[in-house]
Amino acid sequence: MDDGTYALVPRDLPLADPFHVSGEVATGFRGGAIVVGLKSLEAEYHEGARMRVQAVEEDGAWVPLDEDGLIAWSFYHHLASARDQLVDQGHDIQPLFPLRFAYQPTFALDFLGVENAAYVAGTGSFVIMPDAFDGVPLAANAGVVRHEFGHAWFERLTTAGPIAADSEVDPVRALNEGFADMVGSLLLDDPAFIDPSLPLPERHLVPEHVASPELYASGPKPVLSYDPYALGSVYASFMWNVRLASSPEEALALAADAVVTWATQAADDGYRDTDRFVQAVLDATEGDLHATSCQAAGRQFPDRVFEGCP
Amino acid sequence: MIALWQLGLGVDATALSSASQVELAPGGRLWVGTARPVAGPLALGSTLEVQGTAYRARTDLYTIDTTFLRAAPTFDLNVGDERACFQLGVGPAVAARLVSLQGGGLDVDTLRVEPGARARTAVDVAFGAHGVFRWQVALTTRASQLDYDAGIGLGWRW
Ligand SMILES: [Zn+2]
Repeated sequence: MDDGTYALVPRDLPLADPFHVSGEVATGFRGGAIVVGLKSLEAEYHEGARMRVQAVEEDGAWVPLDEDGLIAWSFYHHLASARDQLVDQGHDIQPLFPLRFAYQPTFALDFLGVENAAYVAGTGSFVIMPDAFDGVPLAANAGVVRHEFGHAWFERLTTAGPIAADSEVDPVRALNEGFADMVGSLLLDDPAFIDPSLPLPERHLVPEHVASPELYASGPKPVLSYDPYALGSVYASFMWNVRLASSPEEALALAADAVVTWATQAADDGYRDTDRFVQAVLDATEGDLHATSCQAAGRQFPDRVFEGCP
Repeated sequence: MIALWQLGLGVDATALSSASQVELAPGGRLWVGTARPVAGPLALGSTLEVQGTAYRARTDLYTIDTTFLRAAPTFDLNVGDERACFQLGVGPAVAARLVSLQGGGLDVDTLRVEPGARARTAVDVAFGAHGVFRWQVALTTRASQLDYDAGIGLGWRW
């Protein structure tokens, strides 16, 4: 709701086929499987059966008759409203649609960095796993759905040009998670958007996060030993500071442009230097916003010298 | 030769299809059956089962209570003798599902009656003069959904 709280409210769903949860935004599936293609060595989603949402009409609104139907329709709604917001703000995201989402698919291998609602890199597909806690289900959390959509958008921003950043490489994962948190926080104008589902103070963007050398991925590491969220939160809280000095729309536009700039420049070093994202944001700002952003960057990245800042 | 009448009570693990997965819940089952020998180890019969389960989905946002009851008569083929018998049954089914959804100003109670068909396979093993141990698995359709259940139970036959 507008005050940031959650409630069950009637929604207009742009759904051509509500029973199967299918429309111009996405199509939902029961189960299916995430596998790694033998030739491509990349993740693929093998679709499961169609969803089947039974619902009852109550005071002119349709109410799903089970929790999974409620979550599927909520997820679709949040994805649709995220799309509408971004299109309104002039972002070129329409080619990403329609997307797919899979309820509780099986995984043919351990899935890296799994979240209860997650975007599977390279597949145009989201997975939704049942939650084990009492808060708003992640797939029904407006900010979490925007965060996950942020991963799909990040993938498009970094691969639309001639450059293909591998979003699964550790340094890129940190910026990827940071960008996804920017999308969640800036579209909702809420620096703590995960909280209705579960309190995660370490992901709050206020107070600001500060980078330190151990937050950066260094050298080849065992799978899963690197935490991309810590550095990601530094980037996202830096953009939150930029937002405080401008507007959510302007900050998000700066972030999206800076991801493209970073990806285009960063081929030589294997995309390791993600702080160039911050430099690209600073380069795109002027006047008071530039000065305030430079101050924030100075506080949050104490070991880095940014060009163009006093 | 197979006993003519049987009355039983059992517990099930039920897997009821939802919009996108299955809801696992414990359930209970009552059955009454009859069988008539036809030739050798074969007997024909019928069973009426009544099954029930209830479960709750709760978050800070909503509570959804589901109470589920199903009646299913099956026509059975029995193979075996008094000590052990294998049973295959098929027949129509009718389910009644009461869903109560509350949260955020919504308070919806709705009763759905959903027809379907049921197929089940059971093994009966006798103990004592009248006791029967039953193990069974079953598949049931319900409107557009497919449900599963597996259970054990104790019967009395005469
Ligand atoms: Zn993420």
